[in-house]
Amino acid sequence: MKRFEHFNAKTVDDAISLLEKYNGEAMVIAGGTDLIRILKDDVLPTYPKAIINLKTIPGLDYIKEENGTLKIGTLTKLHDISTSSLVKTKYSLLAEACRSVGSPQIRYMGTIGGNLCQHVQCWYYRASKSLGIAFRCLRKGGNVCYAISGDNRFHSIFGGKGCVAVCSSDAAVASTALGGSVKVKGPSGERVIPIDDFYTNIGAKLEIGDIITEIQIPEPQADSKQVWIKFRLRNSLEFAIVSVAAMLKLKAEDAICENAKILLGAVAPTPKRATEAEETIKGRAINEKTAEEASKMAVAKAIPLNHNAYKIAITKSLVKRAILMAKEQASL
Amino acid sequence: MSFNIIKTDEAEQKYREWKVLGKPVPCINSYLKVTGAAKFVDDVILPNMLYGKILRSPFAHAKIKMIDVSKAETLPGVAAVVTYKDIAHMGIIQTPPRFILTDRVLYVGDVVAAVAADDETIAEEALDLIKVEYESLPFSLTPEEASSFPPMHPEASTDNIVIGAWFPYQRSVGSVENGFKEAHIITEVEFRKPNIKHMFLENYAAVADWRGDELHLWSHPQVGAATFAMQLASILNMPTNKIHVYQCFIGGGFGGKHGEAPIRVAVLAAMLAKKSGRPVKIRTNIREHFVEGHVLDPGITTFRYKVGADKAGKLKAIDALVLAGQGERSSNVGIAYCGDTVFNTYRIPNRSFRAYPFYTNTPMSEALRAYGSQAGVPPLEAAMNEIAESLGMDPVDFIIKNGLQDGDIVTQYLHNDFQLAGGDLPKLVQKAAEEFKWKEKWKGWGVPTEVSSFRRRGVGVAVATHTAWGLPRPNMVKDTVIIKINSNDGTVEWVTDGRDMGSGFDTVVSQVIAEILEIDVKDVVHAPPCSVGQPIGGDTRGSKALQSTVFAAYNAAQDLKRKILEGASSVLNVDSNRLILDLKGLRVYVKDNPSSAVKLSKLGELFSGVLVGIGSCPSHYGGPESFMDPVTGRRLGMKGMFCSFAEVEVDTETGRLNIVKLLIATQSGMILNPLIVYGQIIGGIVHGLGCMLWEGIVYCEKTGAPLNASFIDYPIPTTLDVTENQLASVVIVDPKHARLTPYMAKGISEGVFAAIWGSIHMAVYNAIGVKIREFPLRPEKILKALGKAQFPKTKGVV
Repeated sequence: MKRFEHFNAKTVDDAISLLEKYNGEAMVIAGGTDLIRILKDDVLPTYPKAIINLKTIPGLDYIKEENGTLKIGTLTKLHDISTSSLVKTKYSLLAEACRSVGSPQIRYMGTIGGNLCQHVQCWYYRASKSLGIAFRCLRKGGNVCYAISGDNRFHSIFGGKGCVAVCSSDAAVASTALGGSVKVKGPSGERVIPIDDFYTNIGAKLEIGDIITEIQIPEPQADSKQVWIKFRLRNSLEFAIVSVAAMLKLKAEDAICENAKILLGAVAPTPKRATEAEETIKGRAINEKTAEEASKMAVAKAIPLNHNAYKIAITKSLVKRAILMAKEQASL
Repeated sequence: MSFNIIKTDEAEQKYREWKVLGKPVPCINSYLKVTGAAKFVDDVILPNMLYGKILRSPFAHAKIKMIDVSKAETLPGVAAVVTYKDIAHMGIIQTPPRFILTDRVLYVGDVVAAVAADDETIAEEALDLIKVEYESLPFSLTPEEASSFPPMHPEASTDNIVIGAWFPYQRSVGSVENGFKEAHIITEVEFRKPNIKHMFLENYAAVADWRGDELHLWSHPQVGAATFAMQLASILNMPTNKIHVYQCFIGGGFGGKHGEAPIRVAVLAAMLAKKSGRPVKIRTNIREHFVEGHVLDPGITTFRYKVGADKAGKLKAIDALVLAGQGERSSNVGIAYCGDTVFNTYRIPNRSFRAYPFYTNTPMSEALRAYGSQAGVPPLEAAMNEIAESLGMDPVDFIIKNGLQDGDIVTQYLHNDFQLAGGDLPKLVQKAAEEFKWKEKWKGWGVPTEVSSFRRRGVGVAVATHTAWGLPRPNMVKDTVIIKINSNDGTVEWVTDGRDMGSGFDTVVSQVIAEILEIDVKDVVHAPPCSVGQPIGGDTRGSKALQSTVFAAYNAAQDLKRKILEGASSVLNVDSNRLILDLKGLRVYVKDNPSSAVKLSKLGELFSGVLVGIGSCPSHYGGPESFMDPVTGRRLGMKGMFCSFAEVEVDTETGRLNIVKLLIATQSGMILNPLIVYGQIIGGIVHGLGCMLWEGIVYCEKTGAPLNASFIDYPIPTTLDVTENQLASVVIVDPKHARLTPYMAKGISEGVFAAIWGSIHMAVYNAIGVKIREFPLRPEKILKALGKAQFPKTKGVV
């Protein structure tokens, strides 16, 4: 790693004013499980001049329910979320998604805010200067996305405006499916952004000085079934190749789908809502046939790159399984 | 893992006789390792020490037109910068001759310069201040490309064919032409493999310190410290005895710290230390793992194997062609051993092996769990499967009909031929097939054993032979061990220049010594290896330590015992065969009259040097009479015999491949330490599975850069991916299978690693009905094979 100034922020405002002072040349650190990789590999076009530690800010590590909303402080560890009985009971999708991140060590260090703000895993973006080469790609201020004509086996199957890297945050996919929002504090004050509006094609909608302070998730409708499936090569220490977060409300007696929300992860630059799949099953009984139809619709608009068409097959299969798993849960 | 040890009566008898050998002795350094007390290279900290960092090439092939280090040199805290301009007389390596730093870089990640500074942060910043202008040159990643490229090492090779120590790369036995004429059926297969890397956890590192004209160096080579010092002496152009190599604990090697792999970092540290006048430590990062050292030899390879058999399924001929991208250089030993695999797994009267190893713009290729069988088995098994299927034969029957047997002639590519002493693939496969219940499971070629919705199961079998005869050739130094007894307390030390890297070699050697000297293994210590004053004998590579080092230790212990007893005999005036060595009691006494004894200290005083024993291993070709077959008069040798049965389940919707059951069987000879054998089998399986399922370095076609060069992007199995209940092993313990060595044992894990690949390949084919002639078997490949990954014709539609 190279040299940088290090500050222990005492308050959120303290951190914001430091970020403003460094005007884009400072980064924040919480668990550091992503940032340390970025710094060690010297991935960014310019090395940050300052690192601002958020862990020293008291009161940002909590899980509570207030007025029908789950509130999670940005510094809450993924481990704590995945083992919280409140989250496991009512927001199981999020608990399972957090449980599927990295390894125990990473979940003990990594925070929910950090998971939402992680850098993409694209091989070109992550190429390490310590090996000699750095690709100054579109996401890093260059003009080209190297993955489009290169090895794009893990990239978007739903296009991308110039950059086809995918959002790898498991927490983002799960909390989008749950209709969550992030509370952001910045130089111009506080605002709440729905997570499905939080990501742009090249990263989170955060301006200089912005810090996520809280994740808010509305209480799911009673009896809604939640399913998380993460497809990956090995069973730990892996980012999703494809993930699916589904929340379905089914009528108990005949499995008619009253409401459905299906989110696809790691297939697009942002968590991708499978609206057509949702529409296909709404008002219909869930069975092998309707699940199959919905899964086809989920990938109907997919446009593969030259190495990632297999992800379409996986996505389709996972959507179908998620729908059928929700039905299975309902019948238990 | 079930660990089914099947012992013959003769084996049982040996185990009854042995007091220390055959027992589950925990590895002698395990306590040091798990408590963190074992010292690795990175634990070495010297006063006033600097830290080095390496500037690496962004080009796969380029000439350095200009390099300016003045800014880096003046950065406060920087003590030295070295480039190719600094090393007129230092750093030449052989085959082909090349300086460690030159004005031409040959792959992305090749070394351009190195900096030493007060800390790593300053060193890293200094790298950014080095200004380099490159002239980019055309580069090749595959053998196919390299064959038509301008020569990479024009001084050594005009056609890009690698100049290794073993040239030319062609050999044949019998007449392939006639063999194919006699054949009823002929099949051909093409098979591909990517570059694979060792994935050990301790990165390449070195600490160098000049004390006057002596170089003191802390390193972790798999070759012993003394061998390493000799290699360095020729590179640094200085006397060997002025190079003190301290071999630290090795944090995993798997062949990746063998040969020249750790040399470059060591030489760069030595250069920086010389220039700065201070000790220098270089510790590479986990990314640099993929560009320092080597990858498996052969590298990026295409195999084309043509096989012929008669109507009864007897093999008649094989014509094997290997095109390999060997990287910037290679010893080509691995490719030669691929030839051994072709020649010595099945009985084929007419055999031809031709290899075309090319220089390509990737890191060099060398050992990975030794040579040959790993890369050589999958294509050979693919070729055998193809012909067995064409004949409609059950693969187990096919192996029983054609597999290598005891007494067969082993045709070695690099060494003289020998007659196989022990080991028999047909018998091994028969036994393992019973254990796996093959006959119940096998449904036919390309036919799943079980289909449940989108999940399909299949079974497969494969065999492998692996080098297990690690005795030196006549022109090589014989491994030597020195044993010393401390006359004050009877404790024992043994010396050889090598270090255990986790395979338990020092534990087994200590057991051998304890067995002969009749003491507890706790009283035996392996001296810390150092190149100065210690004999060569500690290389841990190529499944050889159980032969060469154990042989040397056996002879040394016998030598010591004989000297002591002869000394005591002259003092006590009693024939030495009536004497008992009692190290615990610090004495030698008369068997039937224990009060008649002589103290060890007395012996030490009377006979200078008597308490030191020395022994060497025999050479393979100058060995004892027992190395000759009395009937045929032929020289004998050994090979490791392995077979693997696999049951897999393929999710045909996602392409996910799960291992249901994996059974490994081997004819091990005597097991000297069951704990180690158990661990080595599991280690071999897990490592092999990673390579078969997921591994393989992906290079950027446009730049030649390794794209997945990290432990996240190049996945290896974790404890959640391979669980013990998926695994089974059958070990046939029969001293006859390794009868040439003193304790009738041979190495295990390297062959295990090789054997599983073929069985998984066959099982996947039987599960899904489609052949995939390459590895790894990642979901994208399986789905593509199943026609479920239709790629658009136009590239990059966004």
